[in-house]
Amino acid sequence: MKNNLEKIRKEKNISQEQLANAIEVSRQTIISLEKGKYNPSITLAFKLSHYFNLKIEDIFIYEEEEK
Amino acid sequence: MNVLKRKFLCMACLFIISFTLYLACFMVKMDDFVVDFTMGMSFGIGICTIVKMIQYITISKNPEKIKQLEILEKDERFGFIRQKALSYSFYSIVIGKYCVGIIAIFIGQGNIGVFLCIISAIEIFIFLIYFTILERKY
Repeated sequence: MKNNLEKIRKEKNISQEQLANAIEVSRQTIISLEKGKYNPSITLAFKLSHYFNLKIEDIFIYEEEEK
Repeated sequence: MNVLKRKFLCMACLFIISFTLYLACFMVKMDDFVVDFTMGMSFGIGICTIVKMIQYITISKNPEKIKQLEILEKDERFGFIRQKALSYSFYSIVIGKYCVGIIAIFIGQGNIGVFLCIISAIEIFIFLIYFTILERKY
């Protein structure tokens, strides 16, 4: 799954630390999300979408796995 | 119960277990390398738990660090990593024990080999019980 988290965060001028504190996760989690190393749970995806006031689809892009 | 209290209690329990193990080994008074190893291990674990408890006491005086610890505890990525590490260590321990058991049988240590294989089988059986229960629950 790809995401636009880094782009959106930078557009809103928010630091990783601020975002992490706002959604109550560690900064390392934000780094992993932005790098696409970790896919969030649906709860965390909703928290992020509520925080940025966007739809989940605007932040996360689902890609089907190659067969 | 807050995170810090729970972690402190876990460490206190671990300290009591390691202390009891150390005392038990001390009372056995056998000149055996297994007893010496267990004594050393329990002593090491005991020291580590004391260090951790002191660390938790220090953290308890700093609200900023308490908040950070609570965030880390609730953090889903850490939970995910914890679960992965647990499952990997479980599988490697079970498979490792099973392999060592089979090797022990082949080199003529039948009792130890059978014991290790039985322990592995019991662990897998417990895993299957939990799997069935959780499969029905979710």
